[in-house]
Amino acid sequence: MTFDPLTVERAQTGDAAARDALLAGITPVLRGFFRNRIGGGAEVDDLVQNALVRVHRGFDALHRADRFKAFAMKAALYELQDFYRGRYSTREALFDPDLPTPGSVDAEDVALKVDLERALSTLSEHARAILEMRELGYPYAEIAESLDTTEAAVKMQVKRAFARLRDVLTAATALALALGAAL
Amino acid sequence: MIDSDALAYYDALPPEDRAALDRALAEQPALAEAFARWQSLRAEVRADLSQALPDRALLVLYALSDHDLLSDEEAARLDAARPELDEALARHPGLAAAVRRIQADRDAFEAAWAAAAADPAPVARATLRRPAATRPASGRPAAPSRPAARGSGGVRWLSRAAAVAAVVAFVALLTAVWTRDAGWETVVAEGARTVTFADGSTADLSDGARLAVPGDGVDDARQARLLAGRALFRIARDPADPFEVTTPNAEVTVLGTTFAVEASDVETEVVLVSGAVTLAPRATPDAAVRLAPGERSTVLALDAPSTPQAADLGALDWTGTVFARALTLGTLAERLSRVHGVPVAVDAGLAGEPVSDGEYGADGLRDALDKLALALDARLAMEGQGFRLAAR
Repeated sequence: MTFDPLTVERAQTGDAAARDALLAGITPVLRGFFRNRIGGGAEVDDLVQNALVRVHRGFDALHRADRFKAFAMKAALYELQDFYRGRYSTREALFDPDLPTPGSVDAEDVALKVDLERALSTLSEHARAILEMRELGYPYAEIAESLDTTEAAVKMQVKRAFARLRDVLTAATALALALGAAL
Repeated sequence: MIDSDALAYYDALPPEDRAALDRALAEQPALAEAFARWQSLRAEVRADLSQALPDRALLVLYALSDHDLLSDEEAARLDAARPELDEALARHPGLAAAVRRIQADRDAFEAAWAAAAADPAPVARATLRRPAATRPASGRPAAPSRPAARGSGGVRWLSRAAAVAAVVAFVALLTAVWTRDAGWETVVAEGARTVTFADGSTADLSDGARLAVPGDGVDDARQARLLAGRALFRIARDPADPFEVTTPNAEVTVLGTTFAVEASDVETEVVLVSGAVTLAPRATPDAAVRLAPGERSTVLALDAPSTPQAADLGALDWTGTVFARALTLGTLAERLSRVHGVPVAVDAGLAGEPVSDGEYGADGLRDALDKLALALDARLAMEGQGFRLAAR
């Protein structure tokens, strides 16, 4: 698909017909893209319309009319990152301090604070990548796709990380108790 | 029996599994503390990532920087942040993986652009329900007002015409035999076949199975009729529009799940792999039972469904996929070996390792073994005509 740079320039100077033509032209692109990345569902409609709003509001920042495709692509990618960050209702209920789950805490909860470096050092780089991608908001299925593995294998790694952390904490507690008794 | 280690991904579990874990947390203080510390760890990982990468847009710019996609301003902004970004990427494998993911997103956008160019949909006017913006004094068009939150359909100013255009009929019915029946199409599987529905749901049919699917003239595409034989359904989740599978004597209502159905004129058996379904005789829909993952139930003639009971998921090995539930690696390897007809040995020290519930082997034996080896930090080696999973 190509866009006439003159149409883009006309849209930038307030030509409503040119603007509408551009937005209409990229709508099926955005829809196809978002459906490919997150599947069907109502979120796709929201992602499409918000990406279009980004494009519309960003016309001012587009200094080269011949770069409209890259411009639209970045609008779509930013919107997708917002989706992962939890701005949308997601298929999986991602952990969020505003949506308490049993045991949910924040990073400032000192009583439950764990030695992050020590805990993470017990994990493989692969397992760390999974944990971090999850906290970036990616669903497990997409983490699996990114790491060229299966969702089941990813969840298995997460379970093993949880089990190892339990072991580390149990050992630390036992050591603290032993030191306390010795003192 | 609930697996307490599944707390590790509590936030991705279905409600029924969460409820079971909630009960376990209430009854086991040690488990509750371990879970709280796990959540604390996750919160610290999040905080650490936020500190390393305060502006997530930089990750997008970084991922696109090798393809001449940035404006001069964006390139300058990225250059200024690059030292910190490089350090963050070196410290956080998840950020590096996210960069690769964004690059895959870029490729997907390129593909969507090319597809739209090849098949331009007639949506140009349909997207413009809102009045055109008036030109303000600045010379720039007025921005459209912010779309309302999801669910308020009246302000969805972009038409759903494209969604209508996306409702394609069916694909992957390669060698099936079709016959027409009042707007329905019937496929008779000659050998194993997969039917893909417009919403992405699929049905794997065993040899001889007969499945009727709605044709273009049928309004509701989220339904199917299994007339005879065995089928494994994987249904795309859509709580607002349940998928319905009917058989000669029963109906199964589905939210989004994987389940198998075997049907004859007088008997229907359903085995649920994941998600949730209800099963009812067609004559008495009120007699429905709800199945939990790993359960089976049968409707005989016009009787009420049998009480759900634990299913042998090994009965689904005909699909070529092993559905694991509370299996050890040794047992899973045996089943994969049997399904694929290739010897698979496992070191004694690994055989008792539990594996995650899920599907194995859908993409081939080697793929399944590679992924198991990766997940268990094991080594996959060739051994004779088969494979061995060995401890590192």
